[in-house]
Amino acid sequence: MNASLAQVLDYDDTYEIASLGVSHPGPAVVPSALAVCESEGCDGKALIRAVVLGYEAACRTADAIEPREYEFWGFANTQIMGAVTASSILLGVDVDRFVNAIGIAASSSPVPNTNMMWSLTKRPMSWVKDAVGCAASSGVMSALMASRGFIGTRNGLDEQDGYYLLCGSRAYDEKKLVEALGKRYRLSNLSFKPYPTCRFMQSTLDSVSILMEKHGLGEEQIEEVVVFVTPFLAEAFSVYEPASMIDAQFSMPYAISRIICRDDPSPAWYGEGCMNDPQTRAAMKKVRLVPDEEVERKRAEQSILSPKVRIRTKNGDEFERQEYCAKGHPDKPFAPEDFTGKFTRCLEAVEMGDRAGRAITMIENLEEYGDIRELLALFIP
Amino acid sequence: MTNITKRYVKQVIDMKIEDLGDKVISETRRALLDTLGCMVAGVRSPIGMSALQSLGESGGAQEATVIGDGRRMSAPIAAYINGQCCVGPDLSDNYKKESIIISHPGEGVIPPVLALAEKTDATVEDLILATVAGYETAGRYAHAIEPRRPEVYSFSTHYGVAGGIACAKLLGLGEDESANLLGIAGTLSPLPVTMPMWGFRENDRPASWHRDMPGHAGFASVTAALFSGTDFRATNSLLDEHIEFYKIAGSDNYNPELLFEGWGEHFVVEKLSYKSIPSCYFNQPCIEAVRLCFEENGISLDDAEKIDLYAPTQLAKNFKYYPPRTPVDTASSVRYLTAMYLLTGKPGTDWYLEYERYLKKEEYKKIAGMIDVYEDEELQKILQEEEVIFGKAVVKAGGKTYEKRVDAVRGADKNPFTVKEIEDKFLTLSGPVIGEDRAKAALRAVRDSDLKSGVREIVSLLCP
Repeated sequence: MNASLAQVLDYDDTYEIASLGVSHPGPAVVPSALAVCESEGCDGKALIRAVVLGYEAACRTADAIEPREYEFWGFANTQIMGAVTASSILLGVDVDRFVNAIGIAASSSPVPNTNMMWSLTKRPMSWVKDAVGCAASSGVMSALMASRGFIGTRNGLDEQDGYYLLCGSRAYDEKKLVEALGKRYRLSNLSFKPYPTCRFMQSTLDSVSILMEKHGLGEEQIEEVVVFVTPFLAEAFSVYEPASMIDAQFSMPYAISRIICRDDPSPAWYGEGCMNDPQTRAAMKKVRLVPDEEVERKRAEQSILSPKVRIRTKNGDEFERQEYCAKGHPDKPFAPEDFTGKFTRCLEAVEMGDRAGRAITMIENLEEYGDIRELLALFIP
Repeated sequence: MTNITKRYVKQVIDMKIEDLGDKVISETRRALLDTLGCMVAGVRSPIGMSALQSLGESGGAQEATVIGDGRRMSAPIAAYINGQCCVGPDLSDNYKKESIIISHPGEGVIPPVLALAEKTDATVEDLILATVAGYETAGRYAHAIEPRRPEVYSFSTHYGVAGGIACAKLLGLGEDESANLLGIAGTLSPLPVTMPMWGFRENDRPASWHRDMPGHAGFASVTAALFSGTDFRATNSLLDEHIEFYKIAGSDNYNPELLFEGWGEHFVVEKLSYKSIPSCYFNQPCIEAVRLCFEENGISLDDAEKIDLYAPTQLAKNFKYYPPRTPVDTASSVRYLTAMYLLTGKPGTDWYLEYERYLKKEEYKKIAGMIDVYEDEELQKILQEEEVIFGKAVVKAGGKTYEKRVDAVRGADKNPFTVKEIEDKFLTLSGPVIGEDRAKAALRAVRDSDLKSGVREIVSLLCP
């Protein structure tokens, strides 16, 4: 349940190769770790250790199985490895049982989706996204079962067992699971989303935002926003009548409308007032997506997703911008206030904004807490 | 909604109890009986016990019962535990293409449908219709995606689809809702497992206990059913070719017409094979060959000097493993299973629950010492060309050599169980767990209950 909630706003963290997302570890690892922590009464240090190792497992599995066949989408197969690792660490299983837990997880992972199952090009979209709720619950179950003696394959991530084939991998490099383990942590190399949308849009939204700021533009001054993007995304994201918040999260016109209407990113983007606002609808009509072969070539050859934005104003000025990656990427990292601001806005969306300060203080001093339940109590209305 | 999925859910929705006829209804009751017996006995299997130990105290709404145990849980968790219990004894029903098992429909369909039936206070008629729909989907979808890629070896992905359809039928959903539920169930289903992940190879033993992971598939089906009562949306075209779900179910081939061919004329529940021996079905021709060799030639154990078993190369390689190191390993050690058959004469759950005791018995050791297992190229060729699995036994006794080759084992669709054999299997499996009287009452309820009676009455009899 918590894993599904962590992904529902499409605001979750991303692990990227270059600037192309290959996993969303957070919504699987953190809820799994919190659930086991709570049931086992673990302390803050144990939680931090489990989360670090969970992220490591999810991200390294993604490193090892990429690139995948183009039609395979969704990250449940990497997320479950993060969930089972964090859970096993917190349950304190020995090496043999940990290996079994990974094997059980490999045998019970949700299927990867095909891109057609997402229905990106045939709306309304599927709400399942990565099936992260199942990935997290199966990860926790795998760890629990292994801790009670259930035997799984002991080669779950070895090439010989072929898990990577089921994940749709075109080339498996198992060395990436272990090389430089403990020297460089993937957690330090995450991308965080400034906007509650699909990660594939975020550098575009940054470009729009930067141009708006730099040239002091308002919605009323803008004639047109043209986005030069990969042919697939031009088709998938050209959605002008989003039927639900999920459709809106994958609608470039909708997201750009929020930026040009100067609406700060927050869960409120998907409130009914905003979705049905006439100004929003009018602003969406100013956005046009154009397939661009150069942008596609960079995606295919270098895993760089860098759409170009051109804003034309009513008085005929044209401004262009092409961000290599979005804010929150390791090359353009969030400042501490970006994290706390985003966190506070999320709590405010459910009338718990007054608790944000205390929760932030507790999370910043997590290693000092003997029982994580004290922190979790803050998130109960 | 596009063509294939729409056509498929429509034919499921249109299926009425009158379309089934008495024979199919009776066959469905037998299928239920067979799977429920496995479920009850599975509570004491290591696989079932680990599910109970892991999730049995997880609480939640008391919507559905853990069969054979009595605890009440949320419907998805009950479906999970009951599914894992089903697979525990390795006595689940089979749906085959020639000799090749392409599904164990009971363990994929009945746990989710039963949990949802109990939650919604469904009737026996609802349960039967949903079960038939689920079995049709399991069998037909399995057929439609065969042959799968050689590395793929389990059925959990199509269990999610079959359980999803069965749940949609049970809830009486319309076309759009059924297609949406199917999309959610497919997307939440577990992936198919590769052959090496089963851990059958000598160096990888003990074998993995995951088998087909029906628990996860059942959990996905019931969760999808619950989601379908909200605004939650998934693809409504899961069965359509362009969605390519068949690829993630492990296939490069998909013939969706097999989802429709002969619909309503013959049913999967009429073509099931049932197991009497708690083991992987692929071992059973060898054991059956030994049984018949002894019976037909009047050989006594005292006279036997040597028993050589021959199986297709790819099967013998995996199953000649000996001695078993866990209860689950016993189900894929043909030497152990054959020795146990000759020792006890009657398959039972003690074969895996008490395997360590048997392994130490002098009488057992003497029999096992006579048995060798060989890879047979000729049988392998038949398997590859005709998809038929033969087992061969060559027995030396009293200075003579006897030989028997068998494909259709007792309980197979070509050599079917009698009704009494199915009922006896249920009583043998459930009696020790819920008591003989309750087992008999449960048998009568499943076999004879009025179509308008409630499923909850049956469920209440299936607990100690």
